[in-house]
Amino acid sequence: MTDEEVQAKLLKTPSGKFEFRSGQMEENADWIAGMTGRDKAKLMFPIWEDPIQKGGGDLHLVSPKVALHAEGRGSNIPMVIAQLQPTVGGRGEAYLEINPVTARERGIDDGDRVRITSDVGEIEATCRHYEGIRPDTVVLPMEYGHWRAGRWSESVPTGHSGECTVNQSDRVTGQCNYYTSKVSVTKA
Amino acid sequence: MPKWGMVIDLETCTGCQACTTACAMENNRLPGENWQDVLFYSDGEYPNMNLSWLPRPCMHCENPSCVSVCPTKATYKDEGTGVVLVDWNKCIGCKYCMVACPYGVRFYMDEAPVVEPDVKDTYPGDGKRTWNPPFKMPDEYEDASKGIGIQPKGVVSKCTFCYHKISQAPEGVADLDEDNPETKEFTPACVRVCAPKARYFGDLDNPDSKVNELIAEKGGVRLKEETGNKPQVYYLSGGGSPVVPGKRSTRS
Repeated sequence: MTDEEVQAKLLKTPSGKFEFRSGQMEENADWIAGMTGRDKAKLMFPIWEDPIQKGGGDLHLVSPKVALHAEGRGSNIPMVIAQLQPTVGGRGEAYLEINPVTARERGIDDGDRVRITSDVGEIEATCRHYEGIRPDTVVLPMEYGHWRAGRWSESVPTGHSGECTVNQSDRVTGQCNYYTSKVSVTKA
Repeated sequence: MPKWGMVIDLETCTGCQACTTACAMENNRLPGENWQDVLFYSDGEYPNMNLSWLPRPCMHCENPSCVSVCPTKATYKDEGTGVVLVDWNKCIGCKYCMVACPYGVRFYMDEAPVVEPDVKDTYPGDGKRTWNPPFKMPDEYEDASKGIGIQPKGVVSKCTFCYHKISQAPEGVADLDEDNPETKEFTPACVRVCAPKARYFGDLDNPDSKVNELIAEKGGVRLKEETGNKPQVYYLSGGGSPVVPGKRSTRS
């Protein structure tokens, strides 16, 4: 395409690119700025804000679903528990996945019992060295080991990840934001 | 007479374990008694790490080593279907077949349970069955002489290719395809639920079957050919990419 053809096909905005400006945000800018302390001049545009990482530790704890997760009820179904975390051999137990480099720095061997601590709580789990995980992150599948979900859930020898994750909502949208936290991991 | 076989396309399989779950529900297996399992392997170091997986049913070998070693002839190759079955009335639970099987697809469940508390204690059996789960296949499907249903104490169990379904299939049919209303009900559970359709089930003796076409067109391979067991389960790996886990991979 020639430059002219490109120009003719651009979006009909001053910059020729996508431009986002929320009229609703602009209308209520005074109120929002007053309530949240944000810059009134930028409110109507998409803006980047640094995430607030609560929890106090040095590693990100992520508590994902695994393949067989459907709902929280799965944590008490023996069939599901029997094959809950196949990528690291979790059969009957949820493991904390940790990068081997991160683990060795802390003197943690593959299969060691570890303590995961954040500002709000502390749990124990068995760890597995796993190359598929970032060195600054650890993973513990959610919901297993809950103290009140039923007899099979209770007997999973893994702490419940929810005990360590800080209960916070997204500060812009109010959506669920309590699946991760900063934690520290030590040998139990 | 058909010689039933399976084709598993590893390029399509997502490792979701729907096959494992469906098998457990269809055949009333105990937790961890994965007649159909998905094995995961990892290889390499962060950030160049490769995760691969291999769905693994019983291979229903043409020349099964489990049958050769069985001292009581409890394990046998079914004439009409080419399926390897266990006669629980003859099995003495010596586990010789489990040692002989190169694919690790046989189970003896009277030891430490995979999940505590033991569901066999929660739903106690009545002698004929080791346990009585709240979900169960109809009684008329159960056949101890073919290893179908809930096993009595002290026997080895294994995948039957859903014998109770495939043995009812119309005669002469080339493929048991879940998308064909006429064969849907006779398709093995793991094949029927496979969401990405990575599994095909058909007659290896029928030159017109889809399974034979796939094996020929896409280069189907069998696992551990060196054992001479000649599995009736074939894997498609797309030729180029090494989706069958390599020898360097670590089994999870």
